[in-house]
Amino acid sequence: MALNDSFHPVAWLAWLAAAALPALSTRNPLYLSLVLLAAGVVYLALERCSRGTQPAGRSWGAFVRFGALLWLLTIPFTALTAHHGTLVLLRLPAAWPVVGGPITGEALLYGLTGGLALIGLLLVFATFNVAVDQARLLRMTPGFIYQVGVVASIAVAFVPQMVGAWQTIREVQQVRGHRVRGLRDLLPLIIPLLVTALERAVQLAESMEARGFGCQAEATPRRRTIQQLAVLAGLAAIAAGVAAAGFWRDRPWPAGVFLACGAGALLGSFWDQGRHVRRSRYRRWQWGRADRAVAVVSLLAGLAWAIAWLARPGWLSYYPYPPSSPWPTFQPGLGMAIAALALPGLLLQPAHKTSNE
Amino acid sequence: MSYRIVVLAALIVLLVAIPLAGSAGNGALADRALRTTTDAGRNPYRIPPAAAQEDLNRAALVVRYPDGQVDKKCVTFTGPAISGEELLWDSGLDVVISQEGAVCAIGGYGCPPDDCFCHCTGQPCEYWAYYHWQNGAWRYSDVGAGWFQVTDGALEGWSWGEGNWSSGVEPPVTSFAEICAVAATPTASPGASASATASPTGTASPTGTASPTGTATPGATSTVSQMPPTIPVEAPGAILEVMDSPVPAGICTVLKWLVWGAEQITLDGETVLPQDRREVCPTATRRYVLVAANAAGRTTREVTVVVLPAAQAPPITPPAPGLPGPAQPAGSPTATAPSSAPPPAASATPPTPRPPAAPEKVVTFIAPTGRPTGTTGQPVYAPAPTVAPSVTRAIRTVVPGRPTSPPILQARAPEAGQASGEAVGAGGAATERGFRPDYLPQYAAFALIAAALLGVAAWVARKRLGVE
Repeated sequence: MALNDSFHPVAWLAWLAAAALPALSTRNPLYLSLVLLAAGVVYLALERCSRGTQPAGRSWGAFVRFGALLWLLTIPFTALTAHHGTLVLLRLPAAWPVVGGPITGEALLYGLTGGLALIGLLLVFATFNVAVDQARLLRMTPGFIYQVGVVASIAVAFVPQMVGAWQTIREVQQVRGHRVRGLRDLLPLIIPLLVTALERAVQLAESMEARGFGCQAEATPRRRTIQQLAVLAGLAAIAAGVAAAGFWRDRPWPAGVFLACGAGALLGSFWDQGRHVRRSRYRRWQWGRADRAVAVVSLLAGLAWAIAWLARPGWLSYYPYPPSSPWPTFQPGLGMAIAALALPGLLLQPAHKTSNE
Repeated sequence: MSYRIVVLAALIVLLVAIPLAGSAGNGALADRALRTTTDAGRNPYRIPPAAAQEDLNRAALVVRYPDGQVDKKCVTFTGPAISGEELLWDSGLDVVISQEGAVCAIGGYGCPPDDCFCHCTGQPCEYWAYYHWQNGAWRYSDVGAGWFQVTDGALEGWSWGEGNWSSGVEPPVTSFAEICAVAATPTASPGASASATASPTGTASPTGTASPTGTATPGATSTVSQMPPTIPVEAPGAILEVMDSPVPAGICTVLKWLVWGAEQITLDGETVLPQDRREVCPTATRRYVLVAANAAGRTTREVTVVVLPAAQAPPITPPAPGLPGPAQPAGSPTATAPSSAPPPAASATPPTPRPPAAPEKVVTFIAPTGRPTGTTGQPVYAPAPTVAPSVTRAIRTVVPGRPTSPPILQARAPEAGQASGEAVGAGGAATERGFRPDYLPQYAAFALIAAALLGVAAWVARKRLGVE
């Protein structure tokens, strides 16, 4: 596989932020369906680029199925438990616990849009998963949070690798004449899955250790204790600040002082830890013109969305319940911002593939 | 492959469901608009005429405002139960409910919907607390208004204050029978009438106070014996109202009506449904006549839509009095009643041929909203002996002779402003929830963008095949 088969991870991170922001901040079904479409376009292009070479690409279907399942679950859940709204579809007997009462069309709509937000977020992350190799992501984490980076990269890689291993094992067992007829027939599938997962974890740990991850040669035990205490104190101060902000809403000063102290302690500790982590790189990632285009467009789209979110929250809010209307509004500018997120799908087309072959 | 089918089906369901729900919500909303703006909170549209006698349930509602005033409402509903939220809506009070389903303001007191607990930021934490009357005491509700099911004979309370399990200002002690005092009918269901009926025995106190002169009777039998012998077929009952009168020239308004027990119904000579509404756009002041007839007689209801010249600002006071008032003696003596108030102007009521103080009349009562400062324009309707048709259990709907207080739309706007300082402005924030034509260009833009994205996707997919 060529080195620059995709964009720079930083560009992909910008794309992820810009695409996840709408899915996180609105329930408007129009924007959410545009997010779905944009993620789909990018995935199609990615699948074309990394056809057959990347097993992670196969996890996209699993994500889609999982998202659809979640969606189908949220709709009846919301419709049955939320008894608000004016558009009464039917009434269940009042004696039934939880579900008894009017079943409203607004609740149904709310379930639909909530599920749509979930599936949008899932698909954006699935696309990101396909696009970026987690090892490259890990390489980019700053020194002081390398532990967090390791954990995060393993977590991000877990589902795709699991799905890939599952499919491989199933195919292999099918070739051997294995068929799933009952629960007991799942054992020949599950046991190899667990074994491979363990093997992979051990392998990852060994390789990381071989590359010097996790060694803190210069840190004395005393210094390490101080660092950990500082992290603890910083977290406690931040928690106290959040609690103070909740209790004394009219007095922002104590909360601000607590938050500032906590953030300072945390940052100082991280900086001190990061001083002792030295890393060298063997392969440099080139930052090309397409990377810049993707990053800039994503940042602009995300910025437009964030500004609309902060300045005009009414544009994004969608609640079908009575004070507001069940009809979603749509601002073409914001829609264009989301549609611009399909740009990586266009840029991925021939350039990288042909230039590297 | 299968997941693609699933996603496709889900998308189709979504695309179909949104317009359907929206259009259905449109109708429901228009209904709501009519309902919540009626002057006294009655809800004639909830009563299917056929089922009016059988399946009519009632629940009482007590609201204690921050200044100590108390509103008492009796709400009728059909079906076994409604939610506590629906009870509030149907009571006709000005209710603001947040997006999460919390009750923010009642009758103009409280908080705006986007900051529903604006008086609960610290100590004291004040909000609209929900209570149920259970076993002779108020009990703080476990659940929100949307999740509680109100059944027939229930007494529900709302109180502004530090509602809590242990403390808090409870609503005043009252009883369902006191609020929903009404003459029982022979067809009243035993469960409801056992505890709920009180029988004013025809000697109406002319002051129109809340308490009927009769006492609450545990059984409905004594009440029944005092009822006049029921006529096998009565003349139909009818309600006809106009949303807005007077209206400026060129502005439309809505007529709504409800007729029960009728065989033939005409509005201005045109046969109409027993329960309907109609938008009318009169160019000049005009009277609309609704005639409902069956074997026993005819009932006539009239409203006059006063049309002002375009330059003149519409007054909020009752409409022009010089318009034709009551006319047309109706054929039926039983279904009509004179009104006690000065001759009604906008809603003409046929006078009864009977002498006004016939001894066998039964007066139906409605618990008045006990808010002296209220500007609801609720008339005092005690002294008029009113004949109750057999659907008497629908309390508010069976006072046919009562003057329709003219501008239905003026709810309690002025009062809300003076009462609760910064907390006002909560009511009336309800926006139009139906489909608006200015959504169309937005949806067209969405369709364009979505089509462009689909085109890009198709292009990418085609390229992919081409590479192979």
